Amino acid sequence: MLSLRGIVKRYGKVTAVDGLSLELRRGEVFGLLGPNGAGKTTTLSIAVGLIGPDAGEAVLIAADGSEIGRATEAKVRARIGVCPQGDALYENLTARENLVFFATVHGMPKAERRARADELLEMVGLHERADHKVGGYSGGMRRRLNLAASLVHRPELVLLDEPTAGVDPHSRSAIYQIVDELRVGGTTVVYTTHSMDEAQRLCDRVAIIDHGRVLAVDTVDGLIDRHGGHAVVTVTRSDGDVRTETEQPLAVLAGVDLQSPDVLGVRIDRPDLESVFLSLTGRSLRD
Amino acid sequence: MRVVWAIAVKDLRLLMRDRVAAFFTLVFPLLFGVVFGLIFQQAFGGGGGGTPEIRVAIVDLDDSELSREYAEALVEMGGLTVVGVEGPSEVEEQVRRGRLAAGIIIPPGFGAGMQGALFGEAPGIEVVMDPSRAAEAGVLRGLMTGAGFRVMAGVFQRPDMVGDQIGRVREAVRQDASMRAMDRMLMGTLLDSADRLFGRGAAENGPAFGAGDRGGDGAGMDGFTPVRVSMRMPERGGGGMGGLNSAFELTYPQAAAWALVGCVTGFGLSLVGERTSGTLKRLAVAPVRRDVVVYGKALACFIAAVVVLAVLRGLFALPVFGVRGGAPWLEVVSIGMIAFAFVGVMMALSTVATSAGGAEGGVRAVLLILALLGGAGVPLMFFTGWLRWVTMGSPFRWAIVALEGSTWRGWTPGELLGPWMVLGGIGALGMVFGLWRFRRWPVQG
Ligand SMILES: Nc1ncnc2c1ncn2[C@@H]1O[C@H](COP(=O)(O)OP(=O)(O)OP(=O)(O)O)[C@@H](O)[C@H]1O
Ligand SMILES: [Mg+2]
Repeated sequence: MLSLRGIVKRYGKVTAVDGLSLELRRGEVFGLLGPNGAGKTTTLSIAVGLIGPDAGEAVLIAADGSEIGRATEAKVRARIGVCPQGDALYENLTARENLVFFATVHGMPKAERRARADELLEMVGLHERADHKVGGYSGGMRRRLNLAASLVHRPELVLLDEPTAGVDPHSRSAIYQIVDELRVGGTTVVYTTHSMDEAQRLCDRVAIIDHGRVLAVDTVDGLIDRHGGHAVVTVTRSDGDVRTETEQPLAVLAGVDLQSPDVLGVRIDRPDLESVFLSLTGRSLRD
Repeated sequence: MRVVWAIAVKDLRLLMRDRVAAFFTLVFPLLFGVVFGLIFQQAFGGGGGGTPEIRVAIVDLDDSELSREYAEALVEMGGLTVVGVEGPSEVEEQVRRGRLAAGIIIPPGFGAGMQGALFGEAPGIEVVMDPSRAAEAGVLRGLMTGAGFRVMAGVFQRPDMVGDQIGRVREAVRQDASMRAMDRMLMGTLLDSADRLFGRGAAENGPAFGAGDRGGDGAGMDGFTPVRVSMRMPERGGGGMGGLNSAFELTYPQAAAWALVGCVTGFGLSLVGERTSGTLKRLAVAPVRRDVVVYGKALACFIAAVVVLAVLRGLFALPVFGVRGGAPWLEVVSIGMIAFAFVGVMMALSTVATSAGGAEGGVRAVLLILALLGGAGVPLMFFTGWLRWVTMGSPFRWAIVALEGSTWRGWTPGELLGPWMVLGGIGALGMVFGLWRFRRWPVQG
């Protein structure tokens, strides 16, 4: 679907993207997981032609494997939708006016624009506030409308840059639901986040990015299997905790005398993306 | 307190780092104060010896000794910048176009009339006055009367001239058969004493008028005046008589200028806003050329400017305001050219700054200064001397000139061509520059 090949982008001394290559498959929800400053936004911007790379290229691939072209070409951009990290909306227009305007910019026939706007407003749960100015919207409502605005032209590929940053739980689950609907509809989604939970919950495959480089790409389970290490069994005794890393946590558990008054508690920690990131970078993602 | 200080230091540092913001915080107010200080100093003659110079032309159709003396005396009075012209028709033309505040036409027979001024009717001088320069008309009238007194004082110093006059009056009295004997005798006594008076020379008790004193209202002592100044407006290009119908003929183009300020600010800031709000990103990823954003703004700005100018025109044409019109097509072209010019101004101003904050401050501040320099605040007539040249750098000046020319000044298409071409040039340059800058705008951040 989208092929990123050896992309490099430098800002002065900072190398924002450092030889990044990725192959996106048609119809998958692909996560770009990395801490602040990892180069996620820069990668997306290059993928859609907003900024030019210093090296490498981003090419859109058709279903039959042939190259459609680069995002600098209008015909390629017509197939891509982008939801920028910051809200990109007109404050003084209503939600519906915003959507109709962007539909117009995308060359949608007049007759379809309103219907498409209504459809999207329904989808993101803003139909009741459709005719209110965006200026009066809450952060979560803006994020939802921002997402809707990137979908007006029914793109085959949607790039979402931290769509849930700074939103309340209600808006967040609404956004998750939209991503699920997109997956069901066969849209390819690139989902940028620094939240492991989100990546784990939404993404078919995840690329872990740090300092502009891809450290690992796989399904969430694949990543955990390969880089997550072993499960940890923690037995809390009156004289302290005993941690055991093991491939067979249940076997370890079986060896613990659970009847003993000495044993106060037992916990099994399965490895997650956090452990993957820790083992790949030696740092924790949550900081 | 430490926190307050830390915040203050941070903000100062930020300000210094943003050169555009620093400019508008420091240099701009300074410029503002200096430039307008100069304007007002020139306009109201306050301090520094600066006095308003009234641009006039003097056409001497008499070309006698006294008429030449009068012209010289008028120049020596000070306060006038005298411009050379070909003849009365050119005076008419230059005043109508606003290049001269007034044209002074000394008619044939002026010298002879001056010689007899004390005893007969004072000689007349015609002044073609720009109706928008009402403030200067009074000053000019005073100067002209003063110069008349000077020339007259000179006449009194030459007994031959006075004696000749007295002799002529004596002769006239003798020949007037209808005069009563009593009157005849009184006149004789009067003329005798006049002879004695002027025989010694009257300059020592000369008129109290001098350079710098221009409080005259046209009449000297007790209604006596050495010259009769008659002021009129220039002929209109279209045929009818020109002249300011009401003060609104002056303020209508100024109102239009402020409307343009609003228009350009609105669209300029909305173009800047596309960047700050991130919507430019969206448009940049849409399958359209990025330039369409600018084209769209330009079109909207043009339409808004035309509508707003047309509405103002319509309002000021109402009888209450009484702003007279010119040929409709001239007005239409003027409005079109002005709107075009200000689309260019909008595009150039809103794209020149790289930082969004700088762009916002810049659009507002530069527009304000251009508007004031272009005569949107203090009317153009107060800009004299080198300041007149400064006004030419402001697009607002050309807008005002085009509006006045195509309405009450009644300019011909040929006369309007100049301002139209300047406006067209401003528009084209601004658009090219704006587009060039816009293409270099960073879409990110
Ligand atoms: N316009 C720019 N000028 C200079 N440096 C930049 C610019 N854009 C990005 N960078 C730098 O490039 C690096 C990657 O930035 P990027 O925005 O791609 O990170 P990110 O992964 O999206 O981070 P975040 O999670 O905070 O959004 C950072 O070090 C950033 O400082
Ligand atoms: Mg980012």
